[in-house]
Amino acid sequence: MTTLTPALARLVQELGRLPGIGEKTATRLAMFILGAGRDYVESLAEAIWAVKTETTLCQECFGLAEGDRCAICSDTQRSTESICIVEEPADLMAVERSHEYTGRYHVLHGVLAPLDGIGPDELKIAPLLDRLRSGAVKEVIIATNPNVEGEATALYLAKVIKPLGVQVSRIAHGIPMGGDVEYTDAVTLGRAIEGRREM
Amino acid sequence: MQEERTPAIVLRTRVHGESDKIVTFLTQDWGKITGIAKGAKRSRRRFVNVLEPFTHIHLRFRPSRSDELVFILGCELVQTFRRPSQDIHRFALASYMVELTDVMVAGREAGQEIYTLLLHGLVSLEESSPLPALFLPAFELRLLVEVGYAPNLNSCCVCGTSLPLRATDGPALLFSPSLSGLLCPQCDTRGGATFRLAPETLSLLQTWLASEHLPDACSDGKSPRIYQETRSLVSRLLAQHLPRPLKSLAFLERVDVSPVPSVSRSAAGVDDTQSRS
Repeated sequence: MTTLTPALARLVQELGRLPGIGEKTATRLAMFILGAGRDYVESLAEAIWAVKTETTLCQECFGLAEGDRCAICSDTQRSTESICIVEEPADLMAVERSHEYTGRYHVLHGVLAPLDGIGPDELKIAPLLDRLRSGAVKEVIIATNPNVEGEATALYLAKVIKPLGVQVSRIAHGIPMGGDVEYTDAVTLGRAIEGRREM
Repeated sequence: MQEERTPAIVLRTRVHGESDKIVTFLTQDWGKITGIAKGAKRSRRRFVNVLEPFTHIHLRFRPSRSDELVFILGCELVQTFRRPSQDIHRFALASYMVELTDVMVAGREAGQEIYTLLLHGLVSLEESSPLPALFLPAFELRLLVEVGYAPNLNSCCVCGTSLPLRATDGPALLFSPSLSGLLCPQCDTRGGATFRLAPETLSLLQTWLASEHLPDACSDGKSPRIYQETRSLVSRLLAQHLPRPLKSLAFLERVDVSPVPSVSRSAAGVDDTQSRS
């Protein structure tokens, strides 16, 4: 027999659907919300609602935005000569955390996955080509994941972008900083040797 | 249950929950099996780079007493096929081959021959340069044979009359996709829609059927008619036996760079220009 009230049980159930949250953690969070002040609970509820109702896709890069254009595409300080292509908005955020890139982005919202029926038409490739045809972009950096489907997507993009006269590059693959050669898998090590550079 | 080990090829992978993966393998000793790899999405040791499609591995798993889903304990890399990551056409071909195998093989009954066929197919994709134009029809026909759908190319499939073997200088023979075999002149009205096979095409197909492994489908010296008829026949046979359309087909047709005019594999019907009037 449950000791939770119906409202509390419902909150535990909904919180338990979040990634990384089990029943025990969901119960802890629900009890915290129950004990929190009315202002905080209203703010939390509004924040959850707002993220769902106000978040859109940028009309230019298809990253997350509020309105027609995202903060990056609206930033006049960022270079318009370079576009970094990523699979998902989370990948865009990861590249931004590096503080090494100052150009624009384009989010594909997936990769080529023939086994799942996902081809070029299911991705944001046509709008990307439209952007490149405008003539301002000189370089494209493909930052899809280094797995079979990510590599195939990069190959396809290079094939359709190069005829437009835009330079195409791929992010480097290899051993992560702080990693250990001894414990690196054979595939990654092979790629690292293959992609070595002169010092 | 005790731990089992077998060589295997990864057919497909999907993320399950936050960090697990559900993976389907074609194995050498256990047929087609599906298992759960706990924590595989975040794994930096046990599963890194070994659960990618088309990868050839040594699989360690524990069968379940009550469930079809096995528990994947670990994998060791035997061979990673890199050409599909470097050539978009080979990527499309590899995707099609593993999906076709996945769809045509129902479960654990798959024999070692199908595993060997797929492995040879992936090795050919990796090593052949250029890729033989009839590589894919040869793979498809051998797969049809291994799963029990071999066409009858030696005798009339209605009356059983023996037809000339390797009749390279004889008349064209009629093939009925619905009956999956040849028709003699006396039975040619009983096979539904049919199309003609040149003696050279028939001879090539008979060679493929007699082969124990993936045949050398070298394109040198083969006429455009042989390409067309071979691809046409295999596509129609597949259309008879496929339980569902293949998702990878559209992408394969989009990036197809075969040196001969393409015969649409999605054309399941038999009423085309080669059909008998």
